[in-house]
Amino acid sequence: MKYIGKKLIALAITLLAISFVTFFAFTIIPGDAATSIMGMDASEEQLDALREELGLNDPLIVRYGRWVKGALMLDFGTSLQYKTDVAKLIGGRLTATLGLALEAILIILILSVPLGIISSKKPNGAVDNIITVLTQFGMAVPQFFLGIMLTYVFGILLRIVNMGGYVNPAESFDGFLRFLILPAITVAIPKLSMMTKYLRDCIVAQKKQDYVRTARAKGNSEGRILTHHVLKNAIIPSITFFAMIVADVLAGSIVCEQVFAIPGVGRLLTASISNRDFPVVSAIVLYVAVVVVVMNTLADVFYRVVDPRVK
Amino acid sequence: MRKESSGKKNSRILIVGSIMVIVVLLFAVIGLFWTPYDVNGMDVLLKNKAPSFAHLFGTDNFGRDVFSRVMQGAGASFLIAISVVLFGAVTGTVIGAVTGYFGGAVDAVLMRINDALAAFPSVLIALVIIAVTGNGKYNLVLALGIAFIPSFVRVVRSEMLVQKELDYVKNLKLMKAGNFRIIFLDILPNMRTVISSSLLIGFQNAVLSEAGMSYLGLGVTPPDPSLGRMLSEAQSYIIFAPWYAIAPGITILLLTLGLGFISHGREK
Repeated sequence: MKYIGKKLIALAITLLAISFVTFFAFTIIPGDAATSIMGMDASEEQLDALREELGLNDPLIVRYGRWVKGALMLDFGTSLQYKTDVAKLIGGRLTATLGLALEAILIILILSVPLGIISSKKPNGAVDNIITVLTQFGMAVPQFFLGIMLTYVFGILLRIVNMGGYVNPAESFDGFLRFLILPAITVAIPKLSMMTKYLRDCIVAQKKQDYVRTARAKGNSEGRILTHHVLKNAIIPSITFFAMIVADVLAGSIVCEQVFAIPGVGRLLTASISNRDFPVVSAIVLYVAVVVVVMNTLADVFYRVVDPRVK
Repeated sequence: MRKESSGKKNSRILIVGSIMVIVVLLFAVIGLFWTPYDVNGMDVLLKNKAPSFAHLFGTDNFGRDVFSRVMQGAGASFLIAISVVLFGAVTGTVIGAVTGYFGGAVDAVLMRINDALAAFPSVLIALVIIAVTGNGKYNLVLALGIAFIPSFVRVVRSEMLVQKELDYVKNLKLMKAGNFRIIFLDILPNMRTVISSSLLIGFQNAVLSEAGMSYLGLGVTPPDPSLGRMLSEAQSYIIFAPWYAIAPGITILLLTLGLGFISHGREK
């Protein structure tokens, strides 16, 4: 319990530090919000009036305080480009991104665990070598190239998947999930490869430990040794690795949403950076930071619960 | 017996990987000085032509020779990726080595920050920096370079913690060698295996990140060539001119897969 409290405090400090850096990074940029809103030909008096109204003339620290207070209540101000509430704008894009991330994570989990186990069965055997080359390929292929090629092969040449574009889940939930399959595979392949390689290396390392020899000497079958001893020990470090993979899935979906024209948070981020729409950019950065930091904290706590020896 | 055969296989994968990287490097270096056609030479009559002997990788929607453009793009990607890795590696190594060697409060605080940064995918950090600085190839090198620092800090620092307790370092201290002399002239050379494997993985990541950022339109800007941007342009013509997308994609893949094979072959 004390450990969890400590972790929560560390989490709060990290998030505060990130919010601080984000706020100042986007405040020191040349060009101010007033000019972006009023346009280049507004008079100096008009600009001043707007700056006063927006509170841009207050000291930095006051503005930071106001921003954090707003952020805690999910109020990130108004988008410069879309002229709508930033939180609402992001909220509207969340469904697509979450759907994509969940489908991708599901694919990673379903495939990496069996592949890792099969691969570790006979290190440097034929099966292991084939899986190794495949995982090397998965880690090396640029995600957008993979996405473009998958659409080309399955959508244009074979016509297996419908290339009709994004389907709103409110209209057809089934269609929404089906549309996301190719993008999810695209996001999943690089991470799936990393996870498989990591699991395989963990299991191979565990199998060399003395306790495995002891278990074998006691007459346990290889299958039992794997499920009752080796996997239990190999899963623990893999959890931390998995938390990292989840953060990577979020990053991967930024590129993937562009490839498949998915109206998600990643595409909003890319567009907002191009259009210098900073209220939106800083809000998304904060959102991603929260996800990453919370995931890592959860992994740490879980690690500790599963393996109390960990300090 | 088993060990021997696995050793052979690893050296084979090392050779295959090296050949892949060298082939791309060769074309990239030649492309910096000479290309078969003018990279910007357009020809309306040659729009979207399939690969032929005259145009090995076909032509694009403006009738430009894709092979020439890929050569030049590969050179640009190579240079950017090298600069990114060097920037990240040098800065990260100095920070990791110095803080790891001296320890103390500065080390503790810096490592907290570093751990927090390392948890973020590097593309995200680079995106945030690009959002602040604007795009262009120099800003891209800076952004990705900074994003690559945490991983090098982590690797070098943890190795430094091991090395500084070893006898040879204690001997040097007894001989009154200066701390910085010990760090940079004695300990760091001993870390070359660890650092060079991080350099290889870093290089692979840098190539992928550069391509990804340029694909998003947040990296290299138009007059400069880039494989990533070529792919984003090619995507609209995939039905009429699939070679336009396949050529730069395969080039990146050849390079990154080659680098992956090299680091895998070196592992054991």
